[in-house]
Amino acid sequence: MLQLILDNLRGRDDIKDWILTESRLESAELFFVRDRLDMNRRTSIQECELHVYVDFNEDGTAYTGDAVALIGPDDSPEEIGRKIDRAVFSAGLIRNPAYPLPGPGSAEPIIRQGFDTVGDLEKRFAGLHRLFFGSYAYQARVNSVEIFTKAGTKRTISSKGLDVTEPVSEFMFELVTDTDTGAEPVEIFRIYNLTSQDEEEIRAIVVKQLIETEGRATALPSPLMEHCRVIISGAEVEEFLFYYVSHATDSLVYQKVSRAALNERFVPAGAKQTLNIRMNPALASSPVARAVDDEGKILLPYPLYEDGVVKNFRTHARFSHYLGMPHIGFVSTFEAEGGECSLDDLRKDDYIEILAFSSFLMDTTTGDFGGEFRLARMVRGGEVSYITGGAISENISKAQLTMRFSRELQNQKCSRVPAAIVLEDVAITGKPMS
Amino acid sequence: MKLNTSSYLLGKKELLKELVERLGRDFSYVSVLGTDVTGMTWRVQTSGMTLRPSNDEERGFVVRVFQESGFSEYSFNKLDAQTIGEVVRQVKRTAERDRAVFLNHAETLPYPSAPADEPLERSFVQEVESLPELADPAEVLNRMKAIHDRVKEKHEQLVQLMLMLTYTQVNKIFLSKNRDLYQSYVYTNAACAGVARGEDKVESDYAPASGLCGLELLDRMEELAEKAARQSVELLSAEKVQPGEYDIICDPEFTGLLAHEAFGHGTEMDMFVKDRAKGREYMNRRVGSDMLMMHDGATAAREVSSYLFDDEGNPGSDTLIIDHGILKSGMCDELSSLQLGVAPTGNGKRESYKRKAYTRMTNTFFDEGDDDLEAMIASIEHGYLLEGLSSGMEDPKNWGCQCVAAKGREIRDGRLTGRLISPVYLTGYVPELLESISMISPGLELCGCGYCGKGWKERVKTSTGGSYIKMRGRLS
Repeated sequence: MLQLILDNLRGRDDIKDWILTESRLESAELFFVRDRLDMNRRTSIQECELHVYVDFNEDGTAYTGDAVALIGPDDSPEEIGRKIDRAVFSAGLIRNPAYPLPGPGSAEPIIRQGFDTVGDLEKRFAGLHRLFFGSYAYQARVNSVEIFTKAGTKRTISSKGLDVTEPVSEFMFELVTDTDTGAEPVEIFRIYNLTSQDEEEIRAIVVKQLIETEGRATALPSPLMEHCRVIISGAEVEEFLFYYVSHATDSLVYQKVSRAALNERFVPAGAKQTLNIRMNPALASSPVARAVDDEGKILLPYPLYEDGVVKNFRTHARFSHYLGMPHIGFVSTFEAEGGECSLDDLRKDDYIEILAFSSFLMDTTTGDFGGEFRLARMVRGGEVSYITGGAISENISKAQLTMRFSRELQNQKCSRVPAAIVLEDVAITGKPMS
Repeated sequence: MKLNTSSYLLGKKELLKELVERLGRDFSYVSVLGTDVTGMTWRVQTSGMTLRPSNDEERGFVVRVFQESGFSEYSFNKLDAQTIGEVVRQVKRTAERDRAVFLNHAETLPYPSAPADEPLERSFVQEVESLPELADPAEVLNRMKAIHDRVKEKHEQLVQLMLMLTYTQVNKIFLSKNRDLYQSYVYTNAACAGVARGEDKVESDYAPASGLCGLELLDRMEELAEKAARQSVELLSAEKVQPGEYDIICDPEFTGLLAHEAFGHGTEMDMFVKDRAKGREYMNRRVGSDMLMMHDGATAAREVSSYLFDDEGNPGSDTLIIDHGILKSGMCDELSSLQLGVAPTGNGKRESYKRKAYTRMTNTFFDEGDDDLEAMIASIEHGYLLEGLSSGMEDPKNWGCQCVAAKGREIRDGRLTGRLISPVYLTGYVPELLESISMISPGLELCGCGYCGKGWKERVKTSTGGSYIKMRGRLS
């Protein structure tokens, strides 16, 4: 398939540039109800995505158009030719002001280590089964698990001379835990994304979720409260910080959605927490870290924010050209520096720590964030209790003035970020207190 | 005229039959689903334009086999006379060797029998006004650009306006020993979104439309663009809601979200198998007000999730979920139906041929009523008219509910005041919310512009809807 595409591209003068990505992926999947194996699955998929760029003039204006063709291994040479022709035709309709597609750069790509997650599933299954369904000292138990492993390669080739092959390795699972020890049966479910089957990490995840599920069994309906110190943790920290990553992106700046400006402060000077974020394409803990972006640019780490000041934008070839700035590439994985306080310090005094949201939402355009929570730990005067069914709804423009990050860090799907963030003066919706 | 069928899938039909026959020698049940999904997305926005394949474009196969020790599947995307032997080998490896290795350390979930595989031979090819694949892409793009420019010029505070039109033609073939099914249908989504900038805030809003049709929705693009632009600018004056309980009216879009999140997910019967849905113990019990009727089904409405057969080869149906406030039935995929001893309802859907099938919603809605919207507004002393949907999340085990509306319009003393709130989170205990429904308007509307996830994954196309309903709920 790849060779057929390259043969078709060779010698074409109607394409200015092209980028071809070939994925060869295998997966193995297991679905459990309690500790019993329901279905098992395998997949074996090859796919190519061809991105073509075409330069043209219309009414004295120069344009660069682009389009995409998806090509599969069952496509005949004629069909591949037709798909490429159609992509070239489509690109010729796209009247975006002209821009160059820069080369990959001279740096060596940082290729991270891959793992045979598919093969490992079979080899390490006995241990995995024990980790999920073994005996734990809790009344909560595992309701069901779905395990997804993926391994293979992603190769990116371009008309600018790029040819990079990266490993793909993912280990994802959905874990549902439940208990009927409270007034009503309760459950918690989450998805976890790892790069490999790290037994200690999986054990810690299972134990933490079992403990939280027991907490939910004892939880009382959340009262209506104002002026609370609220702690958010887990995946919601990544979601929250993604607001800042998103706003330091050339496309949002060009579109005037973001007010970020290079070397200018984005977080207000009076904020309690300094913001330091670094984009890292080689983030070892992330299953989505990539050495090359979708436009064939070899990616290197760069600072995004230093002490709340924007140091770089994540860039695309088109928007960086329009903004007249260097194209450093679009990195998706990031690291945020922790704060000065430990988790224990943040948990001093009264607080409400939201342990499980129904679905935490951060609107990266408006900065509105919040959601209903299924479980929160409420500490008042040293007394600990659990509450459920409350909700928060805030905006980052206010929240960032008083937010503080924990010193401890955690790994998430796209990032390494503080384990927790404290927000002050938050209102919690719930049942009015009698 | 009729859609063109997939020459790719029909060209593979004899090989697929051979695959079923060869695997049938070793397994008591074998089926194969083939998908060939094509389409195109036009996007015009202030910062540029794009023309891309539909997000759902794919081509491939999934084989399912059953043996005494359970079900196994293998997904792949290359099949010809040379590779069919390898596909057979991989299916057997997955079902026999892999499964034996895993069952050395775990017990299997037992099934009482293989799928019934009752004989069924049917085909459906949709009629459309014009074939979307024959539309001139340049003409569509130029028309959208002209609309963009006209609408954008009218709204000074609008920094971005995006117009999107996408059509997706779904072609599927399903074969088993006794079933021979084929379908081709097309759905189209149109959506416009605006971003408005005020002195110290940025707001955005959108206006969607969808249908089981071709590019006819292009005729509605100007109306949608104008609505999205006007609403985005309007939101710059929105305030935060004072958290608390209010009388609320939900517009049809938000009513649909409520039907989907509050009760739709809770009656997906694969959740019954895992004991993850409270709905199971509430069958034939009251879960909402007497006026509440709720349906789901591929044949319950003509929208983006209307089809002849699901991804497990079962015919689509119209399931009455709630009848006058009483929970009557759930929706069911093939495997759950075997576990629960009920008939499948044609709700077995996959994100793609690469993924497992689960019980999923199709077109889900509350029936219309006969109460007047003006009378609803007039009946409220202090409350909000909630419009548009932002997102939602289910909690079938505990019947919690999170539905986020794009905005709320304040009602005081029976009149709209012009004051806006945004964003608006509606939360609460589902039976309490549904029991509080006191008025339902005529005018059922469905929309299928978005996707539905199962938890945080497995995105599939669904439509949701209803009419205006009055209820009481907790807002924040």
